[in-house]
Amino acid sequence: MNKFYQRLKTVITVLLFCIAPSILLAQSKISGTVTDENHLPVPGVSVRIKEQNKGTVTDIEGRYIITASQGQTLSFSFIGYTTQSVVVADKLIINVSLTGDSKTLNEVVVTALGVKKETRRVGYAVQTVQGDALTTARDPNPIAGLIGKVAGVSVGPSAELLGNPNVLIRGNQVSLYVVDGFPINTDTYNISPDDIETYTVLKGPAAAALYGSRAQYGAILITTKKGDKNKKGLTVDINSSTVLNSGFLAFPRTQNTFGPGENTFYEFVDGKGGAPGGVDGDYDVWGPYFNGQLIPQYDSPVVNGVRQGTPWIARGKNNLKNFLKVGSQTNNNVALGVVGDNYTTRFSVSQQHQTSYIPSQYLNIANANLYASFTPTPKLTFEGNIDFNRQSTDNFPDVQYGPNSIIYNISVWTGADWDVNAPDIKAIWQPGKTGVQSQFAEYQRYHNPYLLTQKWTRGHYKNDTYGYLGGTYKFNDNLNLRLRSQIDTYNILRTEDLPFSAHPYGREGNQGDYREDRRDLFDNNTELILNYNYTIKNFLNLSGLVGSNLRTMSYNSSWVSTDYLNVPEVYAFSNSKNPIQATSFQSSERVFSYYASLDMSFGKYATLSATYRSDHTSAFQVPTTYTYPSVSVATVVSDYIPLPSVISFLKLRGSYANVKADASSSTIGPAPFSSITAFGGSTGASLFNNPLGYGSTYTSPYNGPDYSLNTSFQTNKPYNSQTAGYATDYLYANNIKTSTRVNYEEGFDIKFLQNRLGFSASAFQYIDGPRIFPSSISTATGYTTLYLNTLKTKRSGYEGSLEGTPVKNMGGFTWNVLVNIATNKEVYKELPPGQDGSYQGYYKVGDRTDVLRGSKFLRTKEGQIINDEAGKPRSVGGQVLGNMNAKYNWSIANKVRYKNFSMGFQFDGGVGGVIIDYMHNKTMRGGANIETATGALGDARYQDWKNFGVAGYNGTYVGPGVYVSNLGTDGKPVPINLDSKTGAILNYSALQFSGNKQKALVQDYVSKYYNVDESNLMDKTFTKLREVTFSYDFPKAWLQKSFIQKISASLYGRNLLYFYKDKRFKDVDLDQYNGAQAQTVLQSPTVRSYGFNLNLSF
Amino acid sequence: MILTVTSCKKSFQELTVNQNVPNSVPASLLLNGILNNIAEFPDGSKEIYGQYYIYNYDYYGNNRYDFGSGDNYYTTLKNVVAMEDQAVKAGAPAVNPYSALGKFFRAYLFSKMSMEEGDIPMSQALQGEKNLTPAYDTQKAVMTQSLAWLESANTDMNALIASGNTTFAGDIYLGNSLAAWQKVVNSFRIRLLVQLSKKVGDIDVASQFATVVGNPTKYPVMTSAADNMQYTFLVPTNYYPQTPDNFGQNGSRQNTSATYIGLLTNLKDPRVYVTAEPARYNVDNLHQSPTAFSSFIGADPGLDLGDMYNNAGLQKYSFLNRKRYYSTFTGEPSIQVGYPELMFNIAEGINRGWATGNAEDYYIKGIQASFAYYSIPTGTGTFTASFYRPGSTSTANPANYDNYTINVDWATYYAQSGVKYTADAAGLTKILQQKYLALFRHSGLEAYYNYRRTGVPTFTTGPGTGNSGRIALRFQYPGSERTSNAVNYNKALADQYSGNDDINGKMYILK
Repeated sequence: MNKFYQRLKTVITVLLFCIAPSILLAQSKISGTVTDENHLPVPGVSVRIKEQNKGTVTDIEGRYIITASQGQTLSFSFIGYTTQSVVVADKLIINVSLTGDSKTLNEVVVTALGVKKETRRVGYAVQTVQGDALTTARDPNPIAGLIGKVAGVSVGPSAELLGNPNVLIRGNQVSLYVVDGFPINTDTYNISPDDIETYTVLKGPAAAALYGSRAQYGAILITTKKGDKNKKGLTVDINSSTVLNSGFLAFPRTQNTFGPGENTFYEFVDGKGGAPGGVDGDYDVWGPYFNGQLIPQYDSPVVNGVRQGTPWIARGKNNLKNFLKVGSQTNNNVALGVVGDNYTTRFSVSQQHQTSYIPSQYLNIANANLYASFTPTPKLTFEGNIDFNRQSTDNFPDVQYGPNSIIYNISVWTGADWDVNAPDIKAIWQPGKTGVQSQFAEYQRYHNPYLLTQKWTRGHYKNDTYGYLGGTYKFNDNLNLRLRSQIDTYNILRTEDLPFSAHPYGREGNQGDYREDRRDLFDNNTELILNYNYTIKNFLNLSGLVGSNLRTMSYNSSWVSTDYLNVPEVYAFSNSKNPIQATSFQSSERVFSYYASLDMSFGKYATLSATYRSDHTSAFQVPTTYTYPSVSVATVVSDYIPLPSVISFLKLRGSYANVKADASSSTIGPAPFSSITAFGGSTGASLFNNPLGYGSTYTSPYNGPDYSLNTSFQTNKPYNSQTAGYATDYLYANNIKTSTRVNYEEGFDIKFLQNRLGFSASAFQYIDGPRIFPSSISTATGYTTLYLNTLKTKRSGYEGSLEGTPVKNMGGFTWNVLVNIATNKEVYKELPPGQDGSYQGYYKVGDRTDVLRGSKFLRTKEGQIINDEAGKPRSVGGQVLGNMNAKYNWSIANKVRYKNFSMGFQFDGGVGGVIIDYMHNKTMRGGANIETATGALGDARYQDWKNFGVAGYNGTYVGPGVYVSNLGTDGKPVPINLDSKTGAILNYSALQFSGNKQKALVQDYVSKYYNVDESNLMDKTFTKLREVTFSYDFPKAWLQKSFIQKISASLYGRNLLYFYKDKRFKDVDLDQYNGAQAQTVLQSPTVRSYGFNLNLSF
Repeated sequence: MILTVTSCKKSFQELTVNQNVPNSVPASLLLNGILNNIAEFPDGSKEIYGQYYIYNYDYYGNNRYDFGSGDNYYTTLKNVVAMEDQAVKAGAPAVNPYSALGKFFRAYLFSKMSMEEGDIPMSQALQGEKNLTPAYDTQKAVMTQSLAWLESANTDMNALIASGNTTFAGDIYLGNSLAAWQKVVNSFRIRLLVQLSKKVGDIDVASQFATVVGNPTKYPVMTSAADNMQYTFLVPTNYYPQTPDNFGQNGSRQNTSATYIGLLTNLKDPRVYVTAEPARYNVDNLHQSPTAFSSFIGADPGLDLGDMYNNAGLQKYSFLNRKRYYSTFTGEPSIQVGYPELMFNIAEGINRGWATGNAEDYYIKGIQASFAYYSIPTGTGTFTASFYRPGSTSTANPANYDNYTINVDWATYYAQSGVKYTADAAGLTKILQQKYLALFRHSGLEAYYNYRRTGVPTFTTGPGTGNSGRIALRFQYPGSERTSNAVNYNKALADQYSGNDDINGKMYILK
């Protein structure tokens, strides 16, 4: 194929020679593109005709036009690159690839609005990740692959199918993702990683200020692949990977020695509390020891109306493991690039199919991306891109704590008395009651897992389309005008089929339901930008842009549900038993913006950059205008001060920005401002109501008004379907202004040993506030909340990134290493009026914002737990347990290359921070946790069983600690008086203590002991072996005779090893709790992934 | 293309408006919201604090008196202000049914909060941004003002009824009848006066009592259970807290208390057959009669839950009567302010000598109204007691109950020395005991308040009581006071409780 093109080129060249000799002899307009080693365009390159001492510079796309004659020499020079000279021959297009002169940095990064700049001129921290770094050892989520790749960026991957990762930049959740210069509304699944050339993280507001309020917490810029301009003709890339999910990193630790029940007693009557003590309904796992004794069970035979006893054995020892299967994921991408002299096109289709390790649950994602640019004349370029993404699944999990969750049903609240592989369980329905009554060991609160996964299904169908169309007119080398318009739209349908005999919280009627959650968003940005680039007297370079943008968005959604069904398994609104419950929401927003940026480069000394943006927005009480200035400076010291030769490069940078935010929200829930009370969920003036009393709410991208500053009345129907009204509980201070974040960042980049070793460090200080703050006020005012401009916090942190090549091509052997480390903390700087010292009950200026408070045991001065007279521990709430955020996060990635083989691996983790393990609380108190059946607790538990019903038996277990042993004048133990604010003991000197001797029944003791947060407190320190890859690039020589240009194959593993401090908490994968969360949630077990990736180009 | 995808029809100003919610609603809707907000239901912590129906299962709850914040009705009171405003905006005169009801709600809710906490913001409250840090009024001032509001509400209602201006809507209790509400106003005033029994010397309790009781024309009060301010449960929108659907969840997690059951069985009170079931251990293992009073056993509320749960599992306690409380979705209406309680309150006032009258008549009417509420004959007759058969599979199925005919002879019941009224201190105790029995599952914290004020009936304590074995005397202030009204909050604590938001502190009306 190559030969064919070469021949074609020769023919065309010959033809040109024949028909147009006169043109060639005269002066011609020569044009071309200057790129760097990475094929990225280099703007600002000086292009001069040596003979004439005249010249031009390249534009931001690296393009130039110059009039020259054949035989003249064009010189391409730029700081940091080796100057190249090209003699003008017969070609009108001269593309040049510059190589770095190895003494200095020469990378180009994408900055806000898609402007490419040399890093040397950038005054703030920017880190770039190549797209293929995320597509080799692929994570199911395109963004989750960024874990550990960028200092200061923390990604908490979700353990769940279709779960969103929690992406934090410097501790704040990032909500702005920008594709080719335009913000998109993304759930992070509507981007195909195969279409991504680079991810660029703009960490600070200074970097992102041009995007306005949405960039308050930084931005992730995605540059898509556009076809390689240097590869004329057709190129085809195929990338295929297959992943298996097998082996668990975090898995519930359950016991198999005691079955379900209460106080060591169990028998089955109806599974709905009909047994004595209600032990067969909504039970704990505090039942009898598995001893083969005969106990009536759910599947025991009923003879003459009497349920017989059958052997009580642990027949479901590994129910969860047996229920789960090997999950898999396939990704296939085919990309076609067709590039000609004046056009570039790329067409890419991707397919992802993910089969969960939870049976019956899956996710399909299809993505199509089309890019085209056309340059009819050197002055005019048209460009367009469209991306269509479809996510669909009939069945995805809901793991939120409750009867809807697999983990709740298998690992927390039911025991080993039933077997997940038993045919009657697998059959789902009771014989003769198909569709109406499921088969299980319990019918009040818990569910057959197959009913849960096969019949109680949730569908997710989402279409996303985003794209832009525009053109650039180039007045001259210094000035061009670009007009582009982008649309970004999605529609979502989420459904839930609730079968008969399913009974989540609030739906105990067991009569099924059908629900639809529909959402539509339309977002349009139209921008007009004038780019300029002038050099004055070879010293002062002025470049930048002025532009404007009009954003209009509109959104509408509805949430509709039946109120029980008439006919089983007919999931339609017309089948609703009681009147349909429905709510709808619509909103729209408009923002008109204009902005400007100016970069002033003073020769080799410094670059001073300033940006300014003004937004006029409707998302406020009244239409409001607000502005964002930013200034940054960068100076490459090594360019003008002689440094020791070991230092090859030193850049200092600093920046300042002031960004503001209006009353809008980046995400939205299913039923904003809902008034539905029928299902026991939430109502009211919020975008995030869950009308149901169970399950997790789905939040989708929104970036629209939250109406939090509008006063309104609320209505709902709390009694007999009559409407009730309520006046607002919110007050608003006069003249509320937008929220403010002031940002300072300082840093340096230093390179040693001819750039073999580089270190980049940044420090930052963010002053957030005064915010638009919903301040809690005395409810005696009649209101709960006053919105005003207050609350300032200061977040400060450091991050460092070390990049090195300890070994470079020694006999084909190269070793690269990247180490990232980051830390930040946030403290209160200004509290709402009158609340210094009492904010949220406790806080004063200077306190950290992520203090975790909860209950602790009441202790003596020596640290012993104080028990009550029954020997049960006493506790006190509101105590400091630690800080929620990690002290720091780190990652280390290595890449070793030997000839065609390469191997990479990455470790990352966090150090410090605490979290309350909710799962541990539940499994301990519920009796399922293995700790309840081992050690002293397990021994005592066995005794409790042996002695069940024995008169006078009050337990065996004696808890640690003391009790108050001295009596007061009333003959009762002296009471302990506590300070209502601190929880401190006020009358300590009046108390005498003796060692606890009271025996206790294990179930009640554990239920009390483990309801104290202190006993479920988990250190967040962990380390993960995140990924390991082995790749082989087939030698070019082998491929020479085929049409294939490149084949590389990789084997990889993700999440292979997980190290954590305390094995009691093996049920939790700490990975996902990267922010300031107080407690864990139920999660699916996390799995190891093993994959194979094949990449072909021809 | 830009023009077609961008709708610029609306101005920026128009786009700021939230079109999904109303900017005003009529007074009737606000009244509906207020009435829903103030409803107090059974099956909450309030009947545990009254030692009626208590937890045995630590995972779901406990019987500890480790009180936190009390009820917060301020936002509801703000809705009262809004309701009054909306009525006037809609053209009503200054005195209208909503404004008269508004005075009642003020008295009802401010006094409730003060009963729980002590001094509270009142005169400077509900001013929104005009006063973000309202000072506290003394409990005496709150009570005095509440009584004055009730007087004023009654006066307004008399005038409105006389003029025929009685139309309002949104009522969920009394069918939009202003005359019925007037009876609630005056009946509640009697309750409030009785709660101030320790302050007779400081507030004109006795004379107000005599005025109201002595002039039923000017101060009409409830004359039968039909006048109760009560919340009626409905299918499918408003279920009783206990239903056949949730029996398997909580039917065994709570049991009755010895405080309540012991009083009933001591008095050989037939109500025990309606509200409770015999302890199955006594019936099935000890072979006692299911209708023997000795088969009805409540748990000591001070017992450690580990022991209580074990005993409950062994069926050694009486549970809530399944037939009455678990066989339907509507249970029984929940009385907020009721006729039986009124009768006992009047009897108490007369017993205390605040007014002349026949206390015994009121006392008997009170007991008989309570009997009638449970469909127990108040002469000679029978009723059917239904007890759930162990091992049955549905509380909704009538076939799963064993039925027993209970003979009742009112005269025999009343003739007991523990029941028969005597015009002395013992008579007062009997009034209070009978009031306690009539308040089972009703009227929020009234039973707890009566105990707190009089010590009747005897509440027991132990490790299960928490609070170092003490029955707490008050609730703490809302957390927002500590955060956002610190100066006034700390002053109120210093004035009353030595600076600590102490649940064992003694408030003015208890001194």
